[in-house]
Amino acid sequence: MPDRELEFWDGDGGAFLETVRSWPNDVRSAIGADLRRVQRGEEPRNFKPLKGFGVAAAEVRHNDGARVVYSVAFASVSGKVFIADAFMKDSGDGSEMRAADRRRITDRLRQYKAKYNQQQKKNKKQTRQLH
Amino acid sequence: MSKRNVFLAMGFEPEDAMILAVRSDLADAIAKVLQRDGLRQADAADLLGLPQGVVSNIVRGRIDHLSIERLMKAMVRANIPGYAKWPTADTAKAGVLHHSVVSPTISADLEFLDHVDPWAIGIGGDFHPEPETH
Repeated sequence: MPDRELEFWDGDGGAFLETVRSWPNDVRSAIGADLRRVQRGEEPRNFKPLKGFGVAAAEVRHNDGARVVYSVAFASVSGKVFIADAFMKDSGDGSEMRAADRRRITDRLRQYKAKYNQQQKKNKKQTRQLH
Repeated sequence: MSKRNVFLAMGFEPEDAMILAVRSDLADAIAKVLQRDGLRQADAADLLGLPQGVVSNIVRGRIDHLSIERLMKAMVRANIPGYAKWPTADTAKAGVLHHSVVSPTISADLEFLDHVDPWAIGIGGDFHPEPETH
């Protein structure tokens, strides 16, 4: 059973989740099953590690058999699974991530880490006040 | 926003999200055993009593057309533990049911699946059916 919580990027009012929700059922269920494995700390079936983000990041992918690749980018941050972005791309585009996608994900990860660190500091302060 | 059931977050209705979560966990439990034992799909199909196409879907994580009932049957047949503690094929044949059941506490965000330990809250016990009297 999954023990890691999922956290979604919410800086754009959940717009990227709306994108995911518009994807076909079989795509969402296959990607969901893979993310569930990530929550359990296991390796997803279809994924590609993302390098250069400073944290363990990867994208789970689903190829619909035609030309479209559906991708959800996530990172594992302190026991939580942070879902940073979701997008579609043409399989003919090659395996490299588009520069704009990379920039967006880097930015979101940075913000998430900052938020997480701030939360940690707050927790520590509260613990100190209790003693 | 924070969630445990990813299918719910991905826009499935709560009832479908719950089914997909159980389905994907059962399929994963089967896939893990097949991988561990290095079974070819044809042998796995024999062991599980499932068509090879279904085994292929389990292995590939294509869960949208799998049936929970079918997965559970296959798991009992192959003695693969899952959400509930079910009898092995042999003990089931002998009429001894040792089972525990997940208590479906209804929760809006379906987090019960992540908190309930079916092994701990089960109503396990040996059940001996009444002998038929004629």
